[in-house]
Amino acid sequence: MVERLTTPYPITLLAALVVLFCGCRPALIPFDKDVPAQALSHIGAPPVHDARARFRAIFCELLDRNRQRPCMTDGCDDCLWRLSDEPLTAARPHRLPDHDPGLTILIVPGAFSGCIEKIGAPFHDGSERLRQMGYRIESIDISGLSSSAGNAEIIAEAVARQISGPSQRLILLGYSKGTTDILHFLVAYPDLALHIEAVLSVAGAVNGSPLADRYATVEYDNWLARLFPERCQPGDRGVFDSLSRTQQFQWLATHPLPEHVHYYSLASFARYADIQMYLQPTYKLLEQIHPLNDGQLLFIDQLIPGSTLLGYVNADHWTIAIPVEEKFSRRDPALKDRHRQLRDALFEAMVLFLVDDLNAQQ
Amino acid sequence: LVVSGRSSSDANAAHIAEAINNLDLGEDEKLVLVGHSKGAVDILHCLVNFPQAVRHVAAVVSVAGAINGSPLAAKMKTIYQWVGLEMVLPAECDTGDDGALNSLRPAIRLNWMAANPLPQSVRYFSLASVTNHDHVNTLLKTGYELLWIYSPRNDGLLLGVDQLIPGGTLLGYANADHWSVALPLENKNYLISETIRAPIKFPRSILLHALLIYVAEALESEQE
Repeated sequence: MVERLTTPYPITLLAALVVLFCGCRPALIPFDKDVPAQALSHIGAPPVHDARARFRAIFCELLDRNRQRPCMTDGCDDCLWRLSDEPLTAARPHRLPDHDPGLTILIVPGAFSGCIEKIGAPFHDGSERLRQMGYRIESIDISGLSSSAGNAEIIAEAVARQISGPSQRLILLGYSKGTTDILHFLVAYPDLALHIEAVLSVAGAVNGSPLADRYATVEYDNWLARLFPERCQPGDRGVFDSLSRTQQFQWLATHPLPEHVHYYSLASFARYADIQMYLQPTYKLLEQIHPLNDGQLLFIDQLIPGSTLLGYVNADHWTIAIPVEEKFSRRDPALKDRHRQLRDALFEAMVLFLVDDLNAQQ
Repeated sequence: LVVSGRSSSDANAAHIAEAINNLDLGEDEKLVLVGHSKGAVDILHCLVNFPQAVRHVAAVVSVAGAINGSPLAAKMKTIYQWVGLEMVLPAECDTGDDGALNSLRPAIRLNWMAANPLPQSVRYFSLASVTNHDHVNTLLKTGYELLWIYSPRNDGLLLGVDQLIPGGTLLGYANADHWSVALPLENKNYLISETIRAPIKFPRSILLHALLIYVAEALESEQE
């Protein structure tokens, strides 16, 4: 029996009100993917390295081998946006990189993850599949409404429990605010951070979100709080402060990240028509700043300074990692399968890319 | 230098290259090019399109440079028409190739920057301008308000984050709107001076002096 969460009709109404009364103006910049990859970063931030062609090659090869078609018309190219500056000479690997089950992957979910317990775990199905291959993959039970400083402590405890020996290869995967929590952990616990080999950010709230600054006190706060009524543990209630672009950007500029860690960023954005219903109001709010957003974050805010850019996924902020729409929506049933396939393929492609890249650097 | 105020950056790049060529400089003579607003973009196009001009350029100083363009570019024509700017512009301001606003579209600027590495032999310096609503002159207030949704740190035409040349040296953020940081509009036209004067007059001469002293020192220390 499929569990149905409370159908958030009040949210639909609220969403409509947000759009009607937020003072939305038409976007000045049109939706145009014919632009180069961009990152908003502070002066002096380390540059982002481009690995989109290589990641695309692995991801597409993986889909071909599994005979999966999670993307609508043009196959693999529909899943990963090709921006104007992505190299066209994406040499397909003759063979995929070999898996390395020696990796331990700790997944840090995003804000409100505890409020949606059944669906808040990122890459749930994909993790299960890789566990069967021997990978050690665990999700860290952070506090969905707490600050990144608060969750850094929880991550520290989880990492300390995982440390088993010098040969262990520990990877942290952060989704949405989970990325922010990880970055705060690395800075606050430098001794434990020495055990981390790589950080992988998926739709990471690296610079925070303008939504948290501009709309936190009114629409955004209500929107998120009512979406999951009475399901959330209060934590330290610092979630919005940690998602504040003003605060997080300032934090990044004043807290250099450990240089021994390898950072990877996978971002997301989608067209309005492909954004699931409950993210459409927030997409519209962000669209006034830039149409290339995923309903929660702008594409320029999702890249860790100094990281390797894997690509831009054509998905909204939830679809890329968690099955929210599958639970809430009665849209096309085939959508469930496509979204699950997309997440599973993305997860495996990310892991394969990491294995390949980290081994090459060793 | 005289360029066409309403022409594309490529067209003005040719004007700048021609002007440099006409200076008939000796091999050891070097220039510092100072570009305001789209002028900074025109200079960058000149450096990329005319490599022979590069050997005479020691440094480029961008003042409120439209390096990444402006989200307002698509709306500027409408805004200009709305404020009646064409009525107060001198008659000699011809349309050129009419490509100026297109040159300022963010997608066009960002793609150009991504595809055209700047010559490394030249030093680049950026001075941005940002101010608050009260300090923006009347004709720029609409632009300021439209850009506010992106960031309050704008000058009425450009965002602060769009004014920096990649790989360059950041000299600072002038507390001035886009025009008063560089243009003596209040002295040029009675209609302008009485209606759109910026609330605070910016010390432009001192700014230019300071910029050139800094650049000269930087170039000297590089030679040493």
